[in-house]
Amino acid sequence: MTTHPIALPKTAPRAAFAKILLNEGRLAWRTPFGLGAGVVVPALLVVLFGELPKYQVHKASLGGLTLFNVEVPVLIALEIAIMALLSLPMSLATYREQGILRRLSTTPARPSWVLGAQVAVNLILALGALVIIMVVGSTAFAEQAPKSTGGFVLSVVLSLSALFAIGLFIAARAKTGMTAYATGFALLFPLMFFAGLWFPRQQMTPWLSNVSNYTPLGAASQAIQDSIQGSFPPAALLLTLAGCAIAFGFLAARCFRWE
Amino acid sequence: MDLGLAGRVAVVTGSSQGIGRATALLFGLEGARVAVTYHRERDRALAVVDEIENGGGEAVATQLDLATAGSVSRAVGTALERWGQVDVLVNNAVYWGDRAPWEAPPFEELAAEEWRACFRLNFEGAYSAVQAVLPSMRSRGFGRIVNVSSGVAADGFPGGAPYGAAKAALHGLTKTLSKELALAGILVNIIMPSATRTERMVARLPAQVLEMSAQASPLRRLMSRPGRPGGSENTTPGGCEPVGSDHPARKEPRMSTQPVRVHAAAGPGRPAVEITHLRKAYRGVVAVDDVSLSVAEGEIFGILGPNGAGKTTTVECAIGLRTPDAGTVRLMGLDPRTDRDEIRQITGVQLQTSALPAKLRVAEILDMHRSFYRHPADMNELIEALGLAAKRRASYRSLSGGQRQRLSVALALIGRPQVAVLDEMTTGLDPQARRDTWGLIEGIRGRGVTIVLVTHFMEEAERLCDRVALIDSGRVVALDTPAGLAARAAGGKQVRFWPSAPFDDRLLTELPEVAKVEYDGRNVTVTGTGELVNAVILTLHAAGVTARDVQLDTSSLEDAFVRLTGRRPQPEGALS
Repeated sequence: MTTHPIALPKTAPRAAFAKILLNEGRLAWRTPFGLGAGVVVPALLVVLFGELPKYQVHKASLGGLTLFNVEVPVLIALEIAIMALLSLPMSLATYREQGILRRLSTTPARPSWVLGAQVAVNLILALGALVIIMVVGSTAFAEQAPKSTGGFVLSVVLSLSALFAIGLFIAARAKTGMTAYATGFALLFPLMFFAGLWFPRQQMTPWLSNVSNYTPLGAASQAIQDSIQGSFPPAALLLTLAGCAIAFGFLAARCFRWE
Repeated sequence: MDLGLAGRVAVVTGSSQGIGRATALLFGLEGARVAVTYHRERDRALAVVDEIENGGGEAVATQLDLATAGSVSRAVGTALERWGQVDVLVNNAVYWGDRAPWEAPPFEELAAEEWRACFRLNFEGAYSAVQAVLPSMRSRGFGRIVNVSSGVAADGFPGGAPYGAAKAALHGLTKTLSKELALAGILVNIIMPSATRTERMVARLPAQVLEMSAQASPLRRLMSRPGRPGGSENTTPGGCEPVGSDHPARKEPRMSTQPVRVHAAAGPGRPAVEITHLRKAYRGVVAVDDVSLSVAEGEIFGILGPNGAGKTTTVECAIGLRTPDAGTVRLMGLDPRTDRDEIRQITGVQLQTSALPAKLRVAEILDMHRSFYRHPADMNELIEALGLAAKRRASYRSLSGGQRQRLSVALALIGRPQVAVLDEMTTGLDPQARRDTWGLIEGIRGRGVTIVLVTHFMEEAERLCDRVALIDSGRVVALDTPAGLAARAAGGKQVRFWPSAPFDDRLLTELPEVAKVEYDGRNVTVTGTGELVNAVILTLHAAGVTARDVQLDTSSLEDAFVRLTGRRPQPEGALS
């Protein structure tokens, strides 16, 4: 007996998603946390490290590399971590906290579209920072282009997946934007330690270096380092990243709450 | 209803919109062949014709310009040529000229031409139409003429002198013709609608004037939604009822200032929202125990109740945001659980607590939401209507509470919803912003949107709602019009006055309206129901007694609330 309204063309979710993405882009521009901390700061550090003479000396203790060579993968790991662990969870959790996702769930748009748009915007920023670091590093300074291009691309893709999965898990669990930020921040420094932020991984004890290879950021920085300097990264590093992506991705999907 | 119109030919002048349109549509639905006349709005008239034809009826649109000589008879001629007869004439067209008929300058400054144009065209338009249809009616011994007057004729309206005079003249014409033509089988009646919320009225009259007109009406609100076919009620000239009788009884035209409200019992409309035995508990705490209610299409329906009564849970289940534990919910015939996407398309929701990204701008937010819907509203029009034009480029963060609320209402309307659910729309607003928002809702009432309004402000419900469900502890404790609820709670009205001379109590106690007469010094208090004031004053007047200082106490919705829930409603402005 219910007369269905006349069949009309389905909403074009693609057009709606494009608008959401556009607005997320505007927000990223107007709230330049990710842009500043994740893109500008690493870019400035590349220039700074490139200019310091001390960083250009090839050292036996670094396996024949310069300090600059060592810092490039660390900076890449850092900018990915800032976008994935701080920027993404903070904005998603804030959206939930303020009822923005809930409001959206009363419209034909799906909250998952916003999630998708936020992931996309943060990914774009992370990739932008990566391109800046690599281009500035290799054109202005003594960094070389990756010797194993395939290895480099695979390492970057797996690193992004692993870190964004952890970020989504934080966003899934955090009740407020501030909790998300605090959690991300608390994770960032220990994880960056393994990536070699405080002292070069090459100078870690074998035991420490081994442990670090099983942490997401340690594996990320090592895999990227390896593929730049010449060899396809070891499977253990890539498996660590892939495992991390799958495990946290699953957990995030399991416990994500829209309101 | 059967008005006995099958096969009849009706000319309804001025029927591209408003009351005329409603009348034409109803007549068409009832099987009449209808000539729809328009002045400028040809497309609207054609839409009326289409609607009648889609319902299986026959109709034709023809232009009628009251200011052009011979136009009236040509319009009537169209119907005569096409169908060979005219059985029913509804004289509804109004001459507007350059401004609304009641917007004339101060009387002493009124130019003679303007007076003549407004008076003549409004009056003569009607009598020329009558002259044009009479030969056909007389030759067939059957005719029904309904002249549409206006409350302005009886009650007056500042600036409406020529219009009111023309309409008053129409009364004289009607009375005379009714006596002259009755034995020829032609009945002439007049109806006098009070201010009616047509699109034109809303567009032309400032909110204060609409409000004033509403307050002057016995129901304290304007007649609403003329011409909503399929709605639960249509505003139609009640004077048409004798059309069905073949027996030309003489019918005395009656002056009345009461709104004419005819309920179309057999409207094709299903309820816009239907909730039956809804139950919802959160972790064992029952939020909604057993709620059943039905909201008609086009209605503004209020859900009222103390905090924690289950109002919000009820509407959240209705729109599919929560899954009921038991009971069924249908929204425009759809099940929120299985037809989620379709329901999202046809509903607009404003939630009690929800924000928007602080740094997005008004236009950006609206533009994004617009892209979600199949048939979105015009964004600029909506921005204008909600008074946000100056804030188009302002960020959400910089908006005041009232502006945020208006944006929120705009978001609820941007998809051209059939049903809008507004939860605590004015909570937290200052009184001015609250009144502005009410004006807005009154404005969209005319667009045919069904509105479910969750509120705990009695004044809001009284002002806006057609009907109100009072919910307490998860159950509907009462469901009625705001006035009905109020009357139920207090057991009647009270009139207080002091009489110019002593009188016998029995004069009043014998009246059916009166329940009780009490004295307090020289003051008399009469308790009763119905048209109590009229009854008391007229009866005393007939006995030569004048009632002075008359005061009427009607109980308010607030009284009903307290009585039915045992609690006081929250004070205005308090946050829930």
